[in-house]
Amino acid sequence: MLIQELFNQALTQFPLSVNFTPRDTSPAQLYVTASAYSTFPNMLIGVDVALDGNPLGSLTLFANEAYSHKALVARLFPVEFNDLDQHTLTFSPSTPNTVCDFNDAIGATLLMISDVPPFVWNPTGPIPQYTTYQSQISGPALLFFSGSAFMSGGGSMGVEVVIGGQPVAISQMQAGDTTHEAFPPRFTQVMLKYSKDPIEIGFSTNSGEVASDQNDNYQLALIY
Amino acid sequence: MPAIQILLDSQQGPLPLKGQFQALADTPPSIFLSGTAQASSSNTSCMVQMEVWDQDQKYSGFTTAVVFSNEARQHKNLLALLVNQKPFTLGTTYMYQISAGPNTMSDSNDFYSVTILY
Repeated sequence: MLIQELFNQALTQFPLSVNFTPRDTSPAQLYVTASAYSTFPNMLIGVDVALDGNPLGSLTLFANEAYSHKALVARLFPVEFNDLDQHTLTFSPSTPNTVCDFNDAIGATLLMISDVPPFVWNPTGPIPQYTTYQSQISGPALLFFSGSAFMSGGGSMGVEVVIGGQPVAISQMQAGDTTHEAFPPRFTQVMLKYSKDPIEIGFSTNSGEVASDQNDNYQLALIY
Repeated sequence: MPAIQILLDSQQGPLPLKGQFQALADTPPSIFLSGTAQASSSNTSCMVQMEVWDQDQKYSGFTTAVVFSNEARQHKNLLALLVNQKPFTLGTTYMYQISAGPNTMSDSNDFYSVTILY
Protein backbone atom coordinates (compact mmCIF):
# COMPACT_ATOMS: atom_id res chain seq x y z
CA MET A 1 0.00 0.00 0.00
CA LEU A 2 1.65 3.19 -1.13
CA ILE A 3 0.48 6.71 -1.86
CA GLN A 4 3.23 8.61 -3.65
CA GLU A 5 2.84 12.35 -4.04
CA LEU A 6 4.56 13.09 -7.35
CA PHE A 7 4.42 16.87 -7.65
CA ASN A 8 2.41 19.99 -7.01
CA GLN A 9 3.65 22.91 -9.05
CA ALA A 10 2.77 25.88 -11.22
CA LEU A 11 1.36 25.07 -14.64
CA THR A 12 3.08 27.93 -16.37
CA GLN A 13 2.85 26.83 -19.98
CA PHE A 14 1.81 24.02 -22.32
CA PRO A 15 3.13 21.47 -22.89
CA LEU A 16 4.50 20.70 -19.46
CA SER A 17 6.52 17.54 -18.86
CA VAL A 18 7.37 16.28 -15.39
CA ASN A 19 9.66 13.34 -14.66
CA PHE A 20 9.15 11.01 -11.72
CA THR A 21 10.24 7.61 -10.49
CA PRO A 22 7.56 5.26 -9.15
CA ARG A 23 8.41 3.52 -5.88
CA ASP A 24 6.49 0.36 -6.73
CA THR A 25 5.38 -1.67 -9.72
CA SER A 26 1.87 -2.36 -8.44
CA PRO A 27 -1.22 -1.39 -10.44
CA ALA A 28 -1.99 2.21 -9.53
CA GLN A 29 -4.48 5.00 -9.91
CA LEU A 30 -2.93 8.31 -10.95
CA TYR A 31 -4.79 11.25 -9.39
CA VAL A 32 -4.41 14.51 -11.31
CA THR A 33 -5.82 17.96 -10.52
CA ALA A 34 -5.19 21.20 -12.41
CA SER A 35 -6.48 24.66 -13.21
CA ALA A 36 -6.57 26.57 -16.49
CA TYR A 37 -8.67 29.21 -18.25
CA SER A 38 -10.33 29.97 -21.54
CA THR A 39 -9.55 32.75 -23.98
CA PHE A 40 -13.19 32.84 -25.13
CA PRO A 41 -16.49 32.57 -23.22
CA ASN A 42 -18.58 29.41 -23.35
CA MET A 43 -15.85 27.03 -24.41
CA LEU A 44 -14.76 23.59 -23.28
CA ILE A 45 -11.29 23.73 -21.77
CA GLY A 46 -9.10 20.88 -20.65
CA VAL A 47 -5.71 19.36 -20.04
CA ASP A 48 -4.66 16.16 -21.81
CA VAL A 49 -2.57 13.81 -19.68
CA ALA A 50 -0.02 11.44 -21.24
CA LEU A 51 2.31 8.96 -19.57
CA ASP A 52 5.53 8.29 -21.47
CA GLY A 53 3.83 9.64 -24.58
CA ASN A 54 0.74 7.46 -24.24
CA PRO A 55 -2.54 9.39 -23.76
CA LEU A 56 -4.36 8.62 -20.51
CA GLY A 57 -7.28 11.02 -20.85
CA SER A 58 -8.24 14.59 -20.00
CA LEU A 59 -9.31 16.88 -17.21
CA THR A 60 -12.07 19.11 -18.58
CA LEU A 61 -14.52 21.87 -17.71
CA PHE A 62 -16.93 24.01 -19.68
CA ALA A 63 -15.79 27.61 -19.08
CA ASN A 64 -18.59 30.14 -19.33
CA GLU A 65 -16.30 33.06 -18.57
CA ALA A 66 -13.22 34.01 -20.54
CA TYR A 67 -9.99 34.77 -18.70
CA SER A 68 -11.22 33.29 -15.42
CA HIS A 69 -8.99 30.64 -13.85
CA LYS A 70 -10.94 27.47 -13.10
CA ALA A 71 -10.30 24.24 -11.25
CA LEU A 72 -10.85 21.48 -13.80
CA VAL A 73 -12.64 18.23 -12.97
CA ALA A 74 -10.01 16.14 -11.16
CA ARG A 75 -9.61 12.55 -12.29
CA LEU A 76 -8.07 9.18 -11.62
CA PHE A 77 -6.29 7.34 -14.42
CA PRO A 78 -5.38 3.63 -14.20
CA VAL A 79 -1.64 3.06 -14.74
CA GLU A 80 0.86 0.28 -14.16
CA PHE A 81 4.64 0.33 -14.11
CA ASN A 82 6.83 -2.62 -15.04
CA ASP A 83 9.99 -1.02 -13.69
CA LEU A 84 11.25 1.53 -11.21
CA ASP A 85 12.84 3.71 -13.88
CA GLN A 86 12.13 7.36 -14.56
CA HIS A 87 8.83 8.07 -16.32
CA THR A 88 7.33 11.24 -17.76
CA LEU A 89 3.93 12.82 -17.45
CA THR A 90 3.10 15.37 -20.14
CA PHE A 91 0.25 17.86 -19.97
CA SER A 92 -1.13 19.55 -23.09
CA PRO A 93 -4.16 21.70 -23.87
CA SER A 94 -7.23 19.68 -24.88
CA THR A 95 -8.71 22.53 -26.89
CA PRO A 96 -7.20 25.48 -28.80
CA ASN A 97 -8.65 28.01 -26.34
CA THR A 98 -7.26 26.33 -23.21
CA VAL A 99 -4.61 28.55 -21.65
CA CYS A 100 -2.52 28.47 -18.51
CA ASP A 101 -0.07 30.85 -16.84
CA PHE A 102 1.97 31.18 -13.66
CA ASN A 103 -1.26 31.49 -11.64
CA ASP A 104 -2.34 27.95 -12.57
CA ALA A 105 -1.25 24.81 -10.79
CA ILE A 106 -1.14 21.08 -11.37
CA GLY A 107 -0.68 18.21 -8.97
CA ALA A 108 -0.39 14.44 -9.29
CA THR A 109 -0.31 11.54 -6.85
CA LEU A 110 0.03 7.80 -7.41
CA LEU A 111 -2.26 5.57 -5.39
CA MET A 112 -0.87 2.03 -5.25
CA ILE A 113 -3.44 0.87 -2.76
CA SER A 114 -5.11 -2.22 -4.16
CA ASP A 115 -4.36 -5.11 -6.48
CA VAL A 116 -8.08 -5.60 -7.10
CA PRO A 117 -9.29 -3.83 -10.23
CA PRO A 118 -11.50 -0.90 -9.17
CA PHE A 119 -14.93 -0.14 -10.53
CA VAL A 120 -14.57 3.07 -12.55
CA TRP A 121 -17.34 4.90 -14.39
CA ASN A 122 -16.85 8.06 -16.48
CA PRO A 123 -20.24 9.32 -17.64
CA THR A 124 -21.04 12.53 -19.46
CA GLY A 125 -23.97 14.65 -18.25
CA PRO A 126 -26.76 15.22 -17.76
CA ILE A 127 -27.36 13.69 -14.36
CA PRO A 128 -29.17 11.95 -12.65
CA GLN A 129 -27.61 9.01 -14.41
CA TYR A 130 -27.05 5.45 -13.25
CA THR A 131 -25.25 2.27 -14.18
CA THR A 132 -24.70 -1.01 -12.36
CA TYR A 133 -21.70 -2.69 -10.80
CA GLN A 134 -21.02 -6.13 -9.46
CA SER A 135 -20.01 -5.89 -5.83
CA GLN A 136 -16.56 -7.39 -5.28
CA ILE A 137 -16.68 -7.30 -1.50
CA SER A 138 -18.83 -6.86 1.54
CA GLY A 139 -17.31 -4.12 3.66
CA PRO A 140 -15.55 -0.78 3.33
CA ALA A 141 -14.36 0.60 0.01
CA LEU A 142 -12.76 3.88 -1.00
CA LEU A 143 -15.09 6.01 -3.13
CA PHE A 144 -13.72 8.77 -5.35
CA PHE A 145 -15.99 11.05 -7.34
CA SER A 146 -15.70 14.28 -9.28
CA GLY A 147 -17.58 16.25 -11.88
CA SER A 148 -19.22 19.56 -12.71
CA ALA A 149 -22.69 21.05 -12.82
CA PHE A 150 -24.49 24.41 -12.85
CA MET A 151 -27.61 26.17 -11.55
CA SER A 152 -29.87 28.63 -13.31
CA GLY A 153 -29.80 31.69 -11.08
CA GLY A 154 -27.04 30.22 -8.95
CA GLY A 155 -27.34 28.87 -5.44
CA SER A 156 -26.38 25.96 -3.26
CA MET A 157 -25.57 22.98 -5.44
CA GLY A 158 -25.05 19.41 -4.28
CA VAL A 159 -24.08 16.36 -6.34
CA GLU A 160 -24.62 12.99 -4.71
CA VAL A 161 -23.40 9.46 -5.33
CA VAL A 162 -26.24 7.00 -4.97
CA ILE A 163 -25.75 3.27 -4.41
CA GLY A 164 -28.69 0.89 -4.32
CA GLY A 165 -31.11 3.79 -4.18
CA GLN A 166 -29.43 5.44 -1.16
CA PRO A 167 -27.30 8.61 -1.26
CA VAL A 168 -23.91 7.66 0.19
CA ALA A 169 -21.83 10.80 -0.40
CA ILE A 170 -22.27 14.42 -1.41
CA SER A 171 -20.16 17.29 -2.66
CA GLN A 172 -21.57 20.79 -2.25
CA MET A 173 -20.72 24.30 -3.35
CA GLN A 174 -22.28 27.69 -4.07
CA ALA A 175 -22.75 28.01 -7.82
CA GLY A 176 -22.75 31.20 -9.83
CA ASP A 177 -25.57 32.06 -12.23
CA THR A 178 -25.65 29.33 -14.89
CA THR A 179 -21.91 28.83 -14.87
CA HIS A 180 -20.48 25.35 -15.00
CA GLU A 181 -18.36 24.66 -11.94
CA ALA A 182 -16.29 21.64 -10.99
CA PHE A 183 -17.54 20.65 -7.55
CA PRO A 184 -14.97 19.70 -4.90
CA PRO A 185 -13.76 16.15 -5.59
CA ARG A 186 -14.15 13.66 -2.77
CA PHE A 187 -12.31 10.63 -1.42
CA THR A 188 -14.58 9.02 1.13
CA GLN A 189 -15.48 5.64 2.57
CA VAL A 190 -18.57 3.65 1.68
CA MET A 191 -19.80 0.36 3.08
CA LEU A 192 -20.63 -2.13 0.35
CA LYS A 193 -22.83 -5.21 0.59
CA TYR A 194 -22.01 -8.31 -1.38
CA SER A 195 -24.64 -9.16 -3.92
CA LYS A 196 -24.68 -11.71 -6.70
CA ASP A 197 -26.98 -9.34 -8.58
CA PRO A 198 -25.79 -6.07 -10.17
CA ILE A 199 -26.23 -3.04 -7.91
CA GLU A 200 -27.34 0.33 -9.22
CA ILE A 201 -24.85 3.15 -8.75
CA GLY A 202 -24.79 6.67 -10.11
CA PHE A 203 -24.93 10.41 -9.74
CA SER A 204 -27.89 12.46 -8.60
CA THR A 205 -28.43 15.95 -7.20
CA ASN A 206 -29.76 17.24 -3.90
CA SER A 207 -32.15 19.59 -5.67
CA GLY A 208 -34.10 19.68 -8.92
CA GLU A 209 -32.57 23.08 -9.58
CA VAL A 210 -29.09 21.61 -10.04
CA ALA A 211 -28.49 21.11 -13.75
CA SER A 212 -25.92 19.49 -15.99
CA ASP A 213 -25.57 18.82 -19.67
CA GLN A 214 -23.32 17.13 -22.20
CA ASN A 215 -20.55 19.59 -21.30
CA ASP A 216 -20.28 18.15 -17.78
CA ASN A 217 -18.08 15.12 -17.17
CA TYR A 218 -18.10 12.88 -14.15
CA GLN A 219 -15.97 10.17 -12.62
CA LEU A 220 -16.85 7.66 -9.96
CA ALA A 221 -14.44 4.99 -8.70
CA LEU A 222 -14.85 2.27 -6.10
CA ILE A 223 -11.47 1.03 -4.91
CA TYR A 224 -11.72 -2.25 -3.02
CA MET B 1 -7.04 -0.97 0.59
CA PRO B 2 -5.85 1.83 2.84
CA ALA B 3 -7.30 2.64 6.22
CA ILE B 4 -9.69 5.52 5.59
CA GLN B 5 -10.40 8.23 8.16
CA ILE B 6 -13.01 10.89 7.41
CA LEU B 7 -12.44 14.06 9.43
CA LEU B 8 -14.92 16.30 7.61
CA ASP B 9 -17.74 15.14 5.36
CA SER B 10 -18.88 18.16 3.31
CA GLN B 11 -18.85 20.26 6.48
CA GLN B 12 -20.43 23.70 6.18
CA GLY B 13 -18.24 26.77 6.75
CA PRO B 14 -17.31 29.38 7.71
CA LEU B 15 -13.70 28.75 8.59
CA PRO B 16 -11.95 28.13 10.85
CA LEU B 17 -13.06 24.55 11.44
CA LYS B 18 -11.37 22.70 14.30
CA GLY B 19 -11.42 19.14 15.52
CA GLN B 20 -9.41 16.21 16.70
CA PHE B 21 -8.81 12.63 15.66
CA GLN B 22 -7.02 9.50 16.79
CA ALA B 23 -4.51 8.22 14.28
CA LEU B 24 -5.65 4.89 12.81
CA ALA B 25 -2.16 3.76 11.82
CA ASP B 26 1.50 4.65 12.00
CA THR B 27 2.07 4.13 8.29
CA PRO B 28 2.75 7.28 6.21
CA PRO B 29 -0.59 9.06 5.81
CA SER B 30 -1.84 11.27 2.99
CA ILE B 31 -4.34 14.05 3.61
CA PHE B 32 -6.96 15.06 1.03
CA LEU B 33 -8.54 18.47 1.67
CA SER B 34 -11.22 19.70 -0.72
CA GLY B 35 -13.68 22.56 -0.64
CA THR B 36 -14.46 26.07 -1.80
CA ALA B 37 -13.66 29.61 -0.69
CA GLN B 38 -13.78 33.19 -1.93
CA ALA B 39 -11.10 35.76 -2.65
CA SER B 40 -11.64 39.04 -0.82
CA SER B 41 -10.30 41.01 -3.79
CA SER B 42 -10.00 40.31 -7.49
CA ASN B 43 -7.00 38.69 -9.18
CA THR B 44 -5.49 37.00 -6.17
CA SER B 45 -4.94 33.48 -4.93
CA CYS B 46 -7.64 31.94 -2.81
CA MET B 47 -6.19 29.52 -0.26
CA VAL B 48 -7.33 27.29 2.58
CA GLN B 49 -4.82 25.57 4.85
CA MET B 50 -5.00 22.67 7.26
CA GLU B 51 -2.61 22.31 10.17
CA VAL B 52 -2.26 19.28 12.46
CA TRP B 53 -0.68 19.28 15.94
CA ASP B 54 -0.08 16.64 18.57
CA GLN B 55 -1.01 17.20 22.22
CA ASP B 56 2.37 18.81 22.89
CA GLN B 57 1.47 21.42 20.28
CA LYS B 58 4.15 19.90 18.08
CA TYR B 59 3.49 20.46 14.41
CA SER B 60 2.52 17.14 12.77
CA GLY B 61 0.95 17.86 9.41
CA PHE B 62 0.08 20.50 6.86
CA THR B 63 -1.68 20.82 3.54
CA THR B 64 -3.32 23.51 1.43
CA ALA B 65 -5.96 23.85 -1.26
CA VAL B 66 -5.48 26.79 -3.61
CA VAL B 67 -6.87 28.33 -6.77
CA PHE B 68 -6.32 31.69 -8.46
CA SER B 69 -9.51 33.78 -8.48
CA ASN B 70 -10.03 36.53 -11.01
CA GLU B 71 -13.30 37.50 -9.36
CA ALA B 72 -13.73 38.84 -5.83
CA ARG B 73 -16.32 37.29 -3.49
CA GLN B 74 -17.17 34.43 -5.79
CA HIS B 75 -17.15 30.89 -4.41
CA LYS B 76 -14.34 28.95 -6.06
CA ASN B 77 -13.56 25.26 -6.10
CA LEU B 78 -10.02 24.82 -4.76
CA LEU B 79 -7.47 22.43 -6.24
CA ALA B 80 -7.52 19.38 -3.98
CA LEU B 81 -4.30 17.44 -3.53
CA LEU B 82 -3.38 14.16 -1.90
CA VAL B 83 -0.41 15.27 0.18
CA ASN B 84 2.00 12.88 1.92
CA GLN B 85 2.60 13.52 5.61
CA LYS B 86 5.11 12.18 8.08
CA PRO B 87 3.66 9.24 10.04
CA PHE B 88 1.35 9.88 12.95
CA THR B 89 1.62 7.71 16.07
CA LEU B 90 -1.03 4.99 16.18
CA GLY B 91 -3.74 5.77 18.71
CA THR B 92 -2.43 9.25 19.49
CA THR B 93 -4.90 12.12 19.50
CA TYR B 94 -4.13 14.99 17.15
CA MET B 95 -5.80 18.38 16.78
CA TYR B 96 -6.42 20.04 13.45
CA GLN B 97 -7.56 23.42 12.21
CA ILE B 98 -8.65 24.46 8.74
CA SER B 99 -8.35 28.18 8.20
CA ALA B 100 -8.56 30.72 5.41
CA GLY B 101 -5.30 32.02 3.99
CA PRO B 102 -4.45 35.61 3.06
CA ASN B 103 -7.10 37.41 0.97
CA THR B 104 -9.45 34.46 1.43
CA MET B 105 -12.95 34.37 2.93
CA SER B 106 -15.40 31.59 3.65
CA ASP B 107 -19.02 31.54 4.80
CA SER B 108 -21.90 29.14 5.31
CA ASN B 109 -22.07 28.53 1.56
CA ASP B 110 -18.60 26.94 1.55
CA PHE B 111 -18.17 23.25 2.34
CA TYR B 112 -15.08 21.29 3.34
CA SER B 113 -14.10 17.63 3.29
CA VAL B 114 -11.00 16.02 4.76
CA THR B 115 -9.97 12.40 4.35
CA ILE B 116 -6.82 10.72 5.63
CA LEU B 117 -5.59 7.63 3.78
CA TYR B 118 -3.04 5.50 5.68
